Amino acid sequence: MQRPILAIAEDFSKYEMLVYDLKKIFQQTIRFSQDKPTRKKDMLWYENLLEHSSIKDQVFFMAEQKKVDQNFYKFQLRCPSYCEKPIFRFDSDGSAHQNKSEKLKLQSVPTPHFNKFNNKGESIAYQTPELENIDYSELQRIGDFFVLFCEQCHLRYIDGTFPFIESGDTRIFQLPVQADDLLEGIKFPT
Amino acid sequence: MNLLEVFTEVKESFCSLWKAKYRGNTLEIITHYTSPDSKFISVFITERDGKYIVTDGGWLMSGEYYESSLLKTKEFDPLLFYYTSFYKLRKTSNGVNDLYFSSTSEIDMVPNKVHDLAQFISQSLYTFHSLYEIDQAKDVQQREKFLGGVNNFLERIYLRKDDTKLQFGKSLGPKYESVRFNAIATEADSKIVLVKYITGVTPDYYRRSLTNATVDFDIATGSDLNSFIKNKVAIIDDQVSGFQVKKILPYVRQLEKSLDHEVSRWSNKGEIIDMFT
Repeated sequence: MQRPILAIAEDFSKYEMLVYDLKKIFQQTIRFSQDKPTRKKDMLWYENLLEHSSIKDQVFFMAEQKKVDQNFYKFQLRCPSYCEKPIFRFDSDGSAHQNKSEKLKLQSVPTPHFNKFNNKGESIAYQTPELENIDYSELQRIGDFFVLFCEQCHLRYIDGTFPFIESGDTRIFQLPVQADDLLEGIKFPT
Repeated sequence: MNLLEVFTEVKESFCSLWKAKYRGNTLEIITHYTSPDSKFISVFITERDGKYIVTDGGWLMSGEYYESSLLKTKEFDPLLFYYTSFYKLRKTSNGVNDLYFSSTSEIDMVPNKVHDLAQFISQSLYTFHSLYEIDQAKDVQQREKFLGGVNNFLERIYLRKDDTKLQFGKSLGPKYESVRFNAIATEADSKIVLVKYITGVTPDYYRRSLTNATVDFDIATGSDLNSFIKNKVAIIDDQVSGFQVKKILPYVRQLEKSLDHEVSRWSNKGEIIDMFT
């Protein structure tokens, strides 16, 4: 169950500084690697410490991408000393989030979407106009979404420009690679 | 007040939650059914050999709606078994996760399949979640009950020892703030006895309690306080539902290695008294 995060509700101004104040990454090009040290063996992974302009806590940028589906990835900001969950996140694909405090008809926010917290510590999904108007039949580029993420949470390379991200090479895993159709190649016995 | 207007508002609100995404030859339908983690359930429809296939796309087990490591425990298996047969679903795989599906050749039966599949995902998750939360609440209660009982018992033992200080819930020391013992007895010669209480309402919780104790005893043994440790005692609750010997035995043995002797059973009070003399 998604319970409100107490640390965020208690000190929301810190949350806003963590997410919206300038953060710098020391690597200009982000490349996924395959050695994610967790249980999720189906994901490529990247993590790096950021330099935060106003907060001393360690803030990390983390990204993961499904090995079998290049279009399924997440970017997130983490600050483990403040809150266990990612404090800000972008989901390219996956289930629609339920914003429970909204009127019912407005509760469903499909992916791609961003996830932030409100001043009650509740998880809120939202789409920027660029995401709302996406044509799902067209292939989306990870780089475009990454720039959007950097804009939303004020993340830059040390020289002030946007960093780049490179999609992982999923061919090396010899798994069935899904294009945009996640049921392609799957056998449904009759 | 026009109640028909109310009905229209309710119906339209529900309907506006339904959304669709084209994904190549597959259609994703986002339904109004939800998961305990505030996600809307999606089902996927594709066509194979003249039949409509309706499936979860592997999202149930991939952790799209609920922490996948929890779903891959044995506790979720019987629920999956029950609900797949209840909704007459079948299973296939994408190489990473299981997919649940059903099929029909009639277009007007597709809504039934969508309904059943979405209900299946939602209900199995809510049932699992409620059982998990109930166990968690029960475990907290049990832990408090056991803690109170053992605390009282140890206090009575130490009443007879004037030169010994007994403290509950204390950490090992300033350098080891997070390493806590249920009781630490400090004797006149500054020697200490470290005590852990082990309990749990399910074998899972019981194992967690055992491993936690093992690690904390190991840290104490490896610390600079080791020369002060006179004895290490683990009092295990052998009257609780989580105490299922077959399922926890390897963990008990591991704890006994850390202690250098056997654990003390709560049902055998004489054994416990011996540990403190």
